[in-house]
Amino acid sequence: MIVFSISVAAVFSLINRETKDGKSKYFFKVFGEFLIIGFIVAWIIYILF
Amino acid sequence: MKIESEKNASAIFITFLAWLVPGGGHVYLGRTLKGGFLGITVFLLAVIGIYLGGHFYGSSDNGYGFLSYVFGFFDFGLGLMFVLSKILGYAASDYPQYTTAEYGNVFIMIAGLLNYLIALDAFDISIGRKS
Repeated sequence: MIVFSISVAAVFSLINRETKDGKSKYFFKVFGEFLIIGFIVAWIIYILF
Repeated sequence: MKIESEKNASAIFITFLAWLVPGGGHVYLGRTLKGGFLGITVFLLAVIGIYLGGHFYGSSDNGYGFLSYVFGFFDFGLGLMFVLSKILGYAASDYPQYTTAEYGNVFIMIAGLLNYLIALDAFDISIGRKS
């Protein structure tokens, strides 16, 4: 999940933001969101099923 | 008018190149570092997917019904890798004995979808919509 999150966040930040600062901020934002949402969904699925 | 049509033809060629070789469109446009990084990321995602036991969906895959065609369209985004897979037969069939095979399939599909986005980004740059 971490490899997946890093790869997708890197591509998103490179194609969606122009400035270097914007790219790094967007990378960490998307990467964090993937991890947090992934863990939350995984726990919900684990508890429910 | 002629300049406009030449620009459009060039943009279509760049988009095709970006689809065929991940990151190739950006490299052609002179953004070597960005293109190289995007290409390596997509390539690594696809290779990890294959290593995990994933495969490229195609018209011969009908185990998932209509979804096979949708997944095939996602995988088609990998361009040359998809074409070579179909011609040479690598990662062409499912490996249900691998517990990670489904993860591998998802990695390959996401790599294909990301390459579609990268090709569209190359198109936007080539027509001047993006700087």
